[in-house]
Amino acid sequence: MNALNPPGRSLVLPGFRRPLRPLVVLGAVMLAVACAPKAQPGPVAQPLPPVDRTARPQPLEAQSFELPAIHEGTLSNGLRVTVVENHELPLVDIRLSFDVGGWTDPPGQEGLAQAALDMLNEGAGELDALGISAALKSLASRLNTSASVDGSSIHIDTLKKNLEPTLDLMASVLLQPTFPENEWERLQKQRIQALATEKADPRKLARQVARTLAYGDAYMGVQATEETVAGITVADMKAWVEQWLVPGRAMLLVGGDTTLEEIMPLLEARFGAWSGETPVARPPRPSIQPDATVVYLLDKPGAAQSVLYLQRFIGERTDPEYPALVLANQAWGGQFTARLNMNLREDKGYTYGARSSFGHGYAPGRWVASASVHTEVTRASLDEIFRELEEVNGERPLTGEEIEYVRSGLIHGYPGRFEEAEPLLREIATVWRYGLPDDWLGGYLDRVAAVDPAQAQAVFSERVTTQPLQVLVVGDLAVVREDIEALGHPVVLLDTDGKPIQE
Amino acid sequence: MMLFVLATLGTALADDSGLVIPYEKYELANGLDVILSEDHSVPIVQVNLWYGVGSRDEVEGRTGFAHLFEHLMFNGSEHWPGEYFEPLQEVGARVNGTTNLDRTNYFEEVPSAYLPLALWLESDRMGFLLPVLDGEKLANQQEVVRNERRQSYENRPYGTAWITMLGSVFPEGHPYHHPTIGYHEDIEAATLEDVSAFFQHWYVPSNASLVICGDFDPDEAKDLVDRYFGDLPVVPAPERVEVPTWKMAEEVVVRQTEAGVPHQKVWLAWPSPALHAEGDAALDVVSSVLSGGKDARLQKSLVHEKQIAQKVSASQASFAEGSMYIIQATAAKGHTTEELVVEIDRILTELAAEGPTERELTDALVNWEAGFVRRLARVSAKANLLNSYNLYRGDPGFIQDDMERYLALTASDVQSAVESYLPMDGRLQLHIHPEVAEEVAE
Repeated sequence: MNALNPPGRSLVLPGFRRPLRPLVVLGAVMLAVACAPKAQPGPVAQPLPPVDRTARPQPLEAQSFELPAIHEGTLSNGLRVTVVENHELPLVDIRLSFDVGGWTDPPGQEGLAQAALDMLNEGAGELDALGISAALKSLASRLNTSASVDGSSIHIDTLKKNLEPTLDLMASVLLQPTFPENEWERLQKQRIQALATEKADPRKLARQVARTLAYGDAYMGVQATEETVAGITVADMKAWVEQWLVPGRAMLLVGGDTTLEEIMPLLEARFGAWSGETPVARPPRPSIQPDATVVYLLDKPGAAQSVLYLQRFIGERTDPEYPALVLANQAWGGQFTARLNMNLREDKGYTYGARSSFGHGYAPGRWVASASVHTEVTRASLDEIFRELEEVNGERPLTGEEIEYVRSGLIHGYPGRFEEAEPLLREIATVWRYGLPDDWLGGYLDRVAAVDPAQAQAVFSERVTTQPLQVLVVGDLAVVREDIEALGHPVVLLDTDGKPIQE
Repeated sequence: MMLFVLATLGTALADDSGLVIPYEKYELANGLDVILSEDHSVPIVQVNLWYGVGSRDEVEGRTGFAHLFEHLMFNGSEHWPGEYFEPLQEVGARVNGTTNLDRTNYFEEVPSAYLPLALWLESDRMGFLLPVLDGEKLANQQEVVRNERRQSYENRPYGTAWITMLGSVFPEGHPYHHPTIGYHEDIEAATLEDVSAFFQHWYVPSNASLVICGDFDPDEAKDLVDRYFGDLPVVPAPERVEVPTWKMAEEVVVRQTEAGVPHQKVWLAWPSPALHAEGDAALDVVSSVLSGGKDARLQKSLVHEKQIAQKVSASQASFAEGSMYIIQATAAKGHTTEELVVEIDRILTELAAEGPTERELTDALVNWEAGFVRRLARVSAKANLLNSYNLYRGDPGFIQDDMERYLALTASDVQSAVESYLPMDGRLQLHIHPEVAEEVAE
């Protein structure tokens, strides 16, 4: 069966995006690990002497890797189509991705975009919600509609042989949604109850409240609430879809067992006549930068652990220092072997895991360090995190060795990210959605390779470790509050909406 | 206008050659199973090692030990005494280990040039773990694991339901009675002597199965496996305890309250047929009929029509020596879990009496079939499947037969599975309600 055969290497056609250089070419920048001499495979008939276990084995000859070719087309209405082929299995995955999501919610109607997307597959054409579900089931296909704050998507995943009827359903959901009142009444209640469930989970609550602290009243910080969801009507959703779900704010991403040539007529037939005026609005770029370190406390009586968040904004994704920050963060807290986790978990045993990362949406990059720690070591954990931050500035700066170590990991781990078409398509959507430079994908490894370790240390210190932070603790305040107040930073009590409580 | 072609079975694949993961299996003199499976689509290779030991093999007073031990496997061995992750993250590897009731597995997915590195590390901890293990490492991982328990079970809404279910569905003394994560006092009680004894008994080549899946040269791989694993000790495979077939003789109702949870939630749980045993696949199909999509019976009735539940789902949690069938539902505001149970029972009774419709059966089967195809997209999933089939069936090539288990099912198989395995007088009802009583309207 065809799962046995490796997919043919895609040809890179003129005019399409430049593929990455093969990894072996990059060998020059990772000499420590990849340019070791090739181990000679011994003849099988002649067993080799027992292995020397004391020496780390040399790598075999590195295999070259190229990103799969990216094929692009345009429908007659201007809708951009991108195809990444993968013929290993008879599956096709298509995502209609929009650059509009919760950021378009009018004040007081937070949750509108999500509600609208949720409702698309609750009734379309002649089918009601159960009818759509039944149709998908008989095809063994999946169709999901979803919205985040930054974007939305309509996604199908189907066996190749059922591609056309599944595409029909996708087109129907987009172009002929019926928004049945009774389905919204039901979904609305479910959504309101789901909000309560999220708040009951300390880790989800902490994640949301940290966002509110970072973005304030701007779209990223404002959550849907019982009140805002209760106020959303079917008419609001229809108007939203009419206004925002237009070809000028979308692209079609196709992955799997098909080709541009094969898929274009199928897409043109279903989406080519889709039209709508493209609104010009862009999302705001909110961020609140603390001018002093402040500790925010949220009470979860009886909690077995405290959830800790430390955060601030560190810069734009297109900032030339971005790759340096990626490497420095990776070394400080971005992976298992980073300083943060090695200290809090592997040395102290305070937590199951601690990490730092930075995420980018339309807003500037937010650096976040987080961990769930045993309640009784909450203060001790904060002390250790602060110590790790401080020591980077003075007695224990990130070393060249540490930076080379994480650089090697990022470069070597790159091919493994593209085993399926979807991750590459997601990256392509990111480049499009956020208007990143054309060479964003193709130039990633080069940029990582070019970072000067001293510069990585310097910029991380300048942007993160010497700066004021927002600190959030969600835990049993009866146990942890006093010790945290003794840190000496201003302390603010929050409710579960992330709003300050006056005591 | 849309045209729906009624699905036909056995044709998910583009051709008719069946569902195959190519592999070659052989055994080293010390009893280690070796399974090689090539896939050159991306220059990565996964080393995937399963040991035939899980929490069901733990002794009294040492629950959670198999999993605690798994953690200790990442703290170095004689020839690499440092953190296991360190040389692997340097080459961008994905690394982890997991423990369940039946087995413990470890994997590292590395750029293909680093196959020797992965085999060096895996063989070193299989053969030479103990010389560098000390009380400090043990004490540290005891704390880490207790924090894992807090994070994954205790500090999340309804998080301890799984632990309660195992403890109530399987009787005391049954190997599945206690959870893999263990009880705090047992995790704390573990000693270095326990670690040595456990390692010497269970972590032997004859109780392990090694899969190499991905981009490698088979001759080169065999040579490396010989060199790194060939001289590990020849020890007979350990005997595992017999797990009796278990049925509950009555209905057990457990009611708990939990601070901070917003809604009433209920779990119905039955002891059910073991993985691959008769009834196991049929119960998977029962799950599809009950909760596979908005129009499935439970969802349609509880969530869409009566609107007494926010969510409902049914699933067969399959384990090697006996499974657990679970239906869980969250009450909609103003409704009680008692109401949910009444409606679920009505639907189960109906399904037990009438069986699924032809359409329900066909839909379920085409979806299970497509699920098998979707599982083959990544080398990590293929490696786990090969090892799972090898450990539980002694046959890494079981995938086609596995799918046939489903495709061969009839409506009466599904009907009788409900009738035989989901009786109302031999199950657990677990209700978790908010600590402060919710006002019930109507």
